[in-house]
Amino acid sequence: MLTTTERVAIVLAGAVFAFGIAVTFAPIAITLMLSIFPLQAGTPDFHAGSFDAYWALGNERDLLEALVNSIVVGGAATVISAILAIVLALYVDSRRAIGRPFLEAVIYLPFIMPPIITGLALLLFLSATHVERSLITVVVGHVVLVEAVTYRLVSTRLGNLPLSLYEASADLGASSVQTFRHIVLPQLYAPLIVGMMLSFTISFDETLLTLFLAGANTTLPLTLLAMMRVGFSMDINALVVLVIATTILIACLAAAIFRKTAMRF
Amino acid sequence: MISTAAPNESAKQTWSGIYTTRARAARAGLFVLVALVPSVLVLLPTLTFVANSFFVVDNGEIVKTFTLSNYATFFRDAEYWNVFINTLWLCFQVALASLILAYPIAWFIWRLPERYRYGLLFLIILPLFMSYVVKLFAIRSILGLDGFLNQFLVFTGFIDRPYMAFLFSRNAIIAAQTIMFLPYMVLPIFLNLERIPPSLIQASSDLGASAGTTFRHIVLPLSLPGVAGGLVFVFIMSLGDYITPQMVGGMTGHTFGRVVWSQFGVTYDWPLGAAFGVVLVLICTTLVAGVGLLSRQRRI
Repeated sequence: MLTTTERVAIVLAGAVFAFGIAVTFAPIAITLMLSIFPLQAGTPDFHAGSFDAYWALGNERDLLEALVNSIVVGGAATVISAILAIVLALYVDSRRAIGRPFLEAVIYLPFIMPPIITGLALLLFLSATHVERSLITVVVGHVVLVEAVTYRLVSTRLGNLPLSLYEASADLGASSVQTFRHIVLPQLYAPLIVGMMLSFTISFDETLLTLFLAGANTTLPLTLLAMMRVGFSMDINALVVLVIATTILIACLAAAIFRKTAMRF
Repeated sequence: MISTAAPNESAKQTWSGIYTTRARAARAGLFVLVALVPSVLVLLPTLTFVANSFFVVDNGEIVKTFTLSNYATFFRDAEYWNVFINTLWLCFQVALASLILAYPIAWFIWRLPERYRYGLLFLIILPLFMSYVVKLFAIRSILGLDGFLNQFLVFTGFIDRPYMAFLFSRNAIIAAQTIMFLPYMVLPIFLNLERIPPSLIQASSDLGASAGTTFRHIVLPLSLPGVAGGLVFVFIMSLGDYITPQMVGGMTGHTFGRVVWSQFGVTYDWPLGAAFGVVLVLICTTLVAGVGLLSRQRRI
């Protein structure tokens, strides 16, 4: 079937693919290696490998505090942005909505602009309104940033719901409130869950925007950034491995849910 | 045509007639209620940001007068202007390097049987969920003087002593950002390739075109909007990234993003930083609008 040129092209492109996977996964591979094997004069000592660093994590107080901060910020930003996103999506989808282009522009703007712009705009606004920088301002920044993700997923699903679904529900005597509760809302669970998972992973890793908004209490990426000049100890590498493994797990779950529900429509 | 349009027209009139002033007020009220939070959190900061770009700093205090002096500084000061042009060139190189890697990758995934396609696509996107800071640190430990790349080259005998130039160079920034932004380039190209109807490719080969001809005349032109989208995406991300150039670029890492950031840190000239920020926003919106226009034209 395939000609020689095609076969050569596929093999070459496959080689580029393998190279791409190798370079993009190299960072996590190196972190994993350095969490198990101690460095001896710059080279990892492959005879002295152990998982001791993972058991010693309890001693890294600063790091664990930053980790907790990141989880709290991510959770708060995820929940608040999801509520905002669902209200906005329902409003924009409704027949009585006005100012739809305005609302969507406001929702998408922080996601399209580089984080440095969103960050400095919020910083200038906070200073103009005399608000101290803290974890709360970080949450506000993250809400603004990740809202677009959940909004996009929820509003796409709302727009794809067939009109006959509403009509059938009304024909069977359901009030508009009943239709919303029993017909529309269950359809939004999947995009909402996927959106929230993506929001959390984005917030958890956010660095460029957070640097503008954090006060004395910082998140995990900022703590790691501050530690970078000194170099990462084995404990730090161990923590990072666990964190990345969790994030990847969440991403896989989100993808699985997205695939399963995307097929229904 | 006219007979079907006429009842619609009259229906619309009665519909608008139903609205009393009270209903209209309720409608506006609901809008304000819904739009309030996003407006306060996005619109007001943006307005503050633009307003600040017209202020000046005097003795460490921000003076709220209208002046174009920040913009004049940007255009007149050769140093800022050089950094700016240099940064645009750097971001373009990053986008181009990403494209050279991403196009074959996207094409390869697209050519695979559907069974494997989405799994491998997910594999390419997965690194986006790994920590940005950790990626930076790992790239530093690969490229550094006692880093893994130098050790590997010494070990294999390509060089006889560690070679400094990997880290803290312009190429290090390009390599680091290409690695970090690659998935953002693969995704739009792949999605665009997937939209090409298989019938077009079949028709092309039915008419006797070789695989190369089909690619050149059908696949490549139809995937250009995805390419443009990916280029703009990576370009903007590279433009806004002020940490990578500092961490892997050393002295060469003095990019425009860092100039903006330093106005908010060391230099403490917020209005000047805001003005430079406005310049960045203008570039980004122009690029996004350009690509939007391009893909709309293509679709027709």
